[in-house]
Amino acid sequence: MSDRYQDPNPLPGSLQYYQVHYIVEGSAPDRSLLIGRCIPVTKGHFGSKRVVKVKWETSDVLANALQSDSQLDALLKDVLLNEGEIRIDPLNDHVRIYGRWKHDEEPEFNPKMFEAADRIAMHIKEIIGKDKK
Amino acid sequence: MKQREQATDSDGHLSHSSTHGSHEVEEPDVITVLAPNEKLAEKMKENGLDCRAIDIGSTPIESGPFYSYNFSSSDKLITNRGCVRVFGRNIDMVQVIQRF
Repeated sequence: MSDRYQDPNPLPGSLQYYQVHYIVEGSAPDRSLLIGRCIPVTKGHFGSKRVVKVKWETSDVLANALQSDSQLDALLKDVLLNEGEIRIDPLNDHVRIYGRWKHDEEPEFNPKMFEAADRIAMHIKEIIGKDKK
Repeated sequence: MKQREQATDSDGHLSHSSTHGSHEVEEPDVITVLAPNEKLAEKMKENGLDCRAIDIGSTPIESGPFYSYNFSSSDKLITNRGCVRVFGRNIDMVQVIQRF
């Protein structure tokens, strides 16, 4: 079955740019603990471009947890070439993890991005749990 | 000569077949239009995730702001296109946002 049919009644004015937010419910009293972003350090150009290092700009608590996770590091090296940057954005009662906007007819699902976001969510939940105590 | 046939949907939602030589194209009888969150949920299920698309506007997350605006380049002209509830993972929900 092909699901690439365009919506015949699209919302007026909306552009074909989608962003998928991965949401973790719950929040720490100190939201500055959770805010952060992940920036790739790349080498090479065009087809030979690759991510050699993953740099986290976040609080010490979250950065220590994320940087020590080797499985997450390997996932991010695959994902960040496509995603560009991953942001962790805490709001009142939940935390959002998202990458860049994608220009497509419909929202794209990237299983590797989901796995990376799931591991980030695991560390966020650990911090939320500790912070509540 | 290459021949293509695609009429395998059990629900009869889509049927499409073409024969390259005779240029026959059958239009589908019924096209099911899915909301973006439903399409995403289908893709997630294909990847083995336990999830379910939920009605638009049924969670408080959808009514609040979608960014904290602590990052300077966060978009303002955006709209909610629905959520997908995820079960058995650290991520509780996935939301689709569209840009204006």
